[in-house]
Amino acid sequence: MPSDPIWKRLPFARLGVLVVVLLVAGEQFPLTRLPMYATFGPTADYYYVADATGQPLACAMVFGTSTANVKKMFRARLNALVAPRGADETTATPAERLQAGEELITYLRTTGLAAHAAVPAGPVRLVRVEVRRALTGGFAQTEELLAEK
Amino acid sequence: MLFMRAICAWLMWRMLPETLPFTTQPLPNGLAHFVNLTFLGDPAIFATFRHLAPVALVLFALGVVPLLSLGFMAALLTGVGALENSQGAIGHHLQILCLVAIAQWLAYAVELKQCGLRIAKCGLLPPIDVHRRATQAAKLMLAAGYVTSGLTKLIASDGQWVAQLPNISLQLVKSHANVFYDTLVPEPAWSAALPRLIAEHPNLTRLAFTPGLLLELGAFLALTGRRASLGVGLALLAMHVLAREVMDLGFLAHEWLLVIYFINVPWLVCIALKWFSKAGKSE
Repeated sequence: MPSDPIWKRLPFARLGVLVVVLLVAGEQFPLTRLPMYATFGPTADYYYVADATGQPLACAMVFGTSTANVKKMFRARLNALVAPRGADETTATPAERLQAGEELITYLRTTGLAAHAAVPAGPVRLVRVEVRRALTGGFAQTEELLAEK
Repeated sequence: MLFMRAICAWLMWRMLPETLPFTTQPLPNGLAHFVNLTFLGDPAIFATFRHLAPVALVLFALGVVPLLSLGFMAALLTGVGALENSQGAIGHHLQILCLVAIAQWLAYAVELKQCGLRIAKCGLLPPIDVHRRATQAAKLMLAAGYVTSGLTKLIASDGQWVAQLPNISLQLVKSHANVFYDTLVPEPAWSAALPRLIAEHPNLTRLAFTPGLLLELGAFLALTGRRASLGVGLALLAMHVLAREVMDLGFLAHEWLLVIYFINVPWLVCIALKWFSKAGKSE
């Protein structure tokens, strides 16, 4: 009834159960905690793809997926690769990062072709850029070549 | 509720991809742990499902056999989303729509079970009360999603979310770079100026963004009545529009689900018509 107090009109039990289930289950589609922008660290990073000369390529056009997805896919592959030895992306070796990067470029070519995207014939570079606040104001950006294939 | 279901059906169609170029699930996620969903990546199979979708959506919009019509769409969208998320990149554009569809389907299933001997009639053309309860289930799921999102921010940041907010400037630099490197179309000049402005004014940033967290945590208030639902819905929609404009972060399904279930346009139209009718009589 609309005249009831607010707490009587709320389905607390059902709401509570749903929230607990979503929080406990985590990222298991279709369940999710909706963790977008849940933390803001002192650094951020983004990825892009480029040709062999370092000229950036429009990722969504050439591979049919976004650079945000490229980042997630690289991290997921790297974590899966190093997990058997108890490591994670922060403790992966350069060789492991290279392997995950090359595997990702191969995967991007395959799915890009299946999606009829304009996949380039020549070598492709996968680049990571770390962003942090500069001491002098503004932002400092550091590039890292992860793989070329 | 016909209008609500019709817009929801349109949204489901809008969120269904035209193609699904995934023939493997290298890192299975969610439903993909239990079902090998790669059959959806077969162009012929996916095209068949996509051709069946409009039939299911029209039936759902008309309120006909929702267990089958909505069930088909809920299963298809969940399968698509799980296969997409099994490529190693977890996206969040489809979960809330799938959860809302599943919540409504469960509401129909529970009601059908209680129909007893009238099960065939109830299943084919459920009475309006059943549709009403399905709508309530959708609202509950939507509210639970926002509350969960708010709590996740507090848990993941160890309660430091508001304190960390000035670092959102780095996320802005990142998201604008993402958009640029997707298409190589230059971003507007303000996209470089805004992160600097945010970094230089930490307390103003906290003042501007903290209401978003409070709104998410208080989204359950939308369940207390139509007016509260309208208020919460409009405020959350404004938050999404702001995030889309400032951070290039669009959450189409979230925005439309708010319009459908919280803002409730048909009810607003009824109120407006009554108001105009009263105003006309008093003149």
